[in-house]
Amino acid sequence: MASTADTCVLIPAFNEGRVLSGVMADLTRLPHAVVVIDDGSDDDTGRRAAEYPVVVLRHLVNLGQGAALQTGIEYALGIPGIRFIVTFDADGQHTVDDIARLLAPLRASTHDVVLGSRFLERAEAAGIRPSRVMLLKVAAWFTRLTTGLRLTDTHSGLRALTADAAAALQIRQNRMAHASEILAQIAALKLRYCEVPIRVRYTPYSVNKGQSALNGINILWDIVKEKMR
Amino acid sequence: MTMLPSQLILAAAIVAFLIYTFRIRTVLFDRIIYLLLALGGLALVINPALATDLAHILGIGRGTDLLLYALVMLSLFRDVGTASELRQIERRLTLIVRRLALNTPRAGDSGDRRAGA
Repeated sequence: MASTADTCVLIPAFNEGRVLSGVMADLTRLPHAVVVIDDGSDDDTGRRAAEYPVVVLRHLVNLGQGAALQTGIEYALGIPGIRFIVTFDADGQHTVDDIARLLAPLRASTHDVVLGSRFLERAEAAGIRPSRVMLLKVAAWFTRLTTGLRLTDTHSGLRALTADAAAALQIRQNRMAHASEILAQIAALKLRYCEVPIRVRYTPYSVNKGQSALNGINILWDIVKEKMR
Repeated sequence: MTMLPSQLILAAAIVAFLIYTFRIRTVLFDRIIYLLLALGGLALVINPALATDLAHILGIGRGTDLLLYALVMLSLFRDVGTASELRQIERRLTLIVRRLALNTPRAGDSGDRRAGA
């Protein structure tokens, strides 16, 4: 099945052993190649992932989600026949049905990058804490200011790109600043991008595992550091 | 509002520091600056009164204060150098860990094998 897949789903995972099985079970029902990047987990993430028909890549030490995505992209580009690459969160917040909606504009060759948005359809933002909505609005404003991209959601982990677009990207931000970095490169490379609405399911687990608002400062710090010589 | 020469120089130093950090910093430049600082230090050891004289020219009361300001700027400068080196080490570590991960992909079980085939 994997040999004929034209789409590779990348799942960066750090200590997600508790929830990974659910995500794996859903994803491996799709006719896509699945690559799990075990980012130096201390738990049984790698072993759990390997119970499914997927490829597991292991970072020997934890590098961060950005580094894991770049590793996954480089691996996926080496799989024969892969035309599209999807990034998908391991914590169970994303819905596998959304993948087809993300791929549609790529298959139609109208876009190079499709970003999942939690806010494109107002109703679907339900369930996101107000403080988080505020933070993401600030991030969207910051992104527009620095890259000119007009997006409703700049920090969604669910994205799809063509193999060519993925090959052009070079993620150097190892940690969470990679989301901003990817957008900056989309702008710099003049890739054709769009957003499609996605649904998220926040569980106490995923909320707990997610980023605290103060981490925005860490992200800014990493972005500034990257500009240093 | 009138500014002392020292205030102008410190403000300029901070701007210069930012430009240096984000635009022109190289390891060679760093070393040249360290060398100049070492020579300045040597001059102060030989003639301690130099600090006070220089401070007075700049509108600073005491040579000690001049040295304190210089020390603050120096520590900023050193932090940037250290951060940059750490970043380079992290980048190399990333490349090594990534290469190892790419070289040792692990294929998970297929559905049939899980069924016990």
